[in-house]
Amino acid sequence: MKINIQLPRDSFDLTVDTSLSLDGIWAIMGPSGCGKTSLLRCIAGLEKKAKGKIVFNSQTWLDTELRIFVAPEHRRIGYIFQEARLFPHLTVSGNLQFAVKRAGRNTPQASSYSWDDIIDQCGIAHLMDRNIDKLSGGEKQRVAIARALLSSPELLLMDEPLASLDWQSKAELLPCLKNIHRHFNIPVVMVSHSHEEIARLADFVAVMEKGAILRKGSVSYIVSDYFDSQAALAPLSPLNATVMGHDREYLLTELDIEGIRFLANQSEKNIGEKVRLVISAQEISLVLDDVQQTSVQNKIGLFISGIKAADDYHQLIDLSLGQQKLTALITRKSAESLNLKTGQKVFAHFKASGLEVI
Amino acid sequence: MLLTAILLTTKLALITTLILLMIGIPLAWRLSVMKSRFRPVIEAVVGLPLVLPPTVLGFYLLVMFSPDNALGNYWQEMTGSTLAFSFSGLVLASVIYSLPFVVQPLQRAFEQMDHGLLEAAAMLGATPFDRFMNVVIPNSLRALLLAGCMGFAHTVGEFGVVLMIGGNIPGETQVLSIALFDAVETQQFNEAHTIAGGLLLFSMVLLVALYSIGQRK
Repeated sequence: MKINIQLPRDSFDLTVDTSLSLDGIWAIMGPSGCGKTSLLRCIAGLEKKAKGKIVFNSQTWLDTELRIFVAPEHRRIGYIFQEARLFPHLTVSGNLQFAVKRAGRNTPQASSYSWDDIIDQCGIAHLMDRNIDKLSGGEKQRVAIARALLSSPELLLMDEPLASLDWQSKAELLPCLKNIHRHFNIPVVMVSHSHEEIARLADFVAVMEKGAILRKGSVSYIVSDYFDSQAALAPLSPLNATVMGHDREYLLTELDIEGIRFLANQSEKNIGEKVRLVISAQEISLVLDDVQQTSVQNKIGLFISGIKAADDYHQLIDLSLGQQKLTALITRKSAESLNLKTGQKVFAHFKASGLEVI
Repeated sequence: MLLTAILLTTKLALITTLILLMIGIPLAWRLSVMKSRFRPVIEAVVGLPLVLPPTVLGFYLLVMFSPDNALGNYWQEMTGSTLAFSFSGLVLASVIYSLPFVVQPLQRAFEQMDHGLLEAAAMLGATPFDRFMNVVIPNSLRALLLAGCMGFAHTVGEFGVVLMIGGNIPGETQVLSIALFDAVETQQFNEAHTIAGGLLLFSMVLLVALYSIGQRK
């Protein structure tokens, strides 16, 4: 998707010239008021004053010079708003039917996904006859996601879909969002200012500030770099892994990242499935020798690719893991006494329970 | 004679309310989303009957209905009769006279409409007309009922305009308020009491009903 747009705003103009690949989840991150939501609304066609050009696959959605503006209802976009925006005059099922009835609007074929499949993935089968005002925040958002999918979109836009939820609903909905992307294989652009959400969900990240995109790239590099500068002391390392097997006796799951074996607490995932692993930098300790006798399940020899100060007393040590990156947080005292240097080989130790599988 | 007046009044109020809703709903919606600087002018025109003496309105309508003028002339060529002192003329006058009572509550309701819902509907593929019919209207049912009742009640209660343009023709233009006036003029106080008491009761019941709807939020 190619985006080259300008949108005048009160504080500063939104000026974005970028292209986003459509093979994963993009997270647009940045401080509040930086224009993240405006960018999403421009893609959706909800900002009528946006000028420039937006091309999605081979469809031109906006070209001010050629006077092309495709109305939002013809862009085939599923938009998940921060507040679910369900229709209060309809039940849950009525809201979903609203989307289904209008799903075949541009193409002769009806919804590309089946009703049952979507209801199942979103876990809302028991809510069908409920009124909207009888739903919890998390339930509303699930219905909103199902409704968006039922309109058979070619692109999903999500504006901080978890922001208005309590932590428990968040914890339930987050894996659900990841599964939906995997299951329906639909490109997603989401707005978030939460480091935790982005590390767990996103494949790519674009960092925005004052209406412009500063950097973009793979989540493993961008997330920790960006939040270091915000002095976050516990950056998460997002890692893409494949499930290799389950150890039923000890309730562990074996995973592969770039040819290296990891153990995590047992998860429900199937063998061969691609998963996202997340580990906090605080969970990782560094050892110079290959110590075998320790209770820690993961002992992995890796090379140091970078050393940065987190604050005056802590350092962040980046360890390269093929194309990916694992970040450890240690005290400056430890770093100096171990005499750590870039390019040096160290052993990263962390418990199986420290790895979160999504 | 009383029954004729009741039937005529009901017929007039029903037809007027129907036409008012057909005009008022799109007009109120346009006004609610309008950003043009002409909006206050249009609002003022719609609201004129609220402040203008009904006789002023009646006078100008009477002038317009005259076959010497475009509207009156056109009507006479189309139908062969004059607009003044006819039921059709009464309907036209009532529509203008009761317009603000229908447009204003609708406009207020439309202005309070959550436009986020309309954006959500657009993203689901609903065209502007579809959004209006299937999101705006179902979420404004209370306001629609209120507007309809206000239009109906106000048409039943009009007197000055009817007197100016309709006169006092039983079965054609003699509505209840005129019949009451006529009864008093001819000193038929029993009939006057019946009509006045009936209109009072009707207005009271309708208003209690309307305020109960308003309360149930």
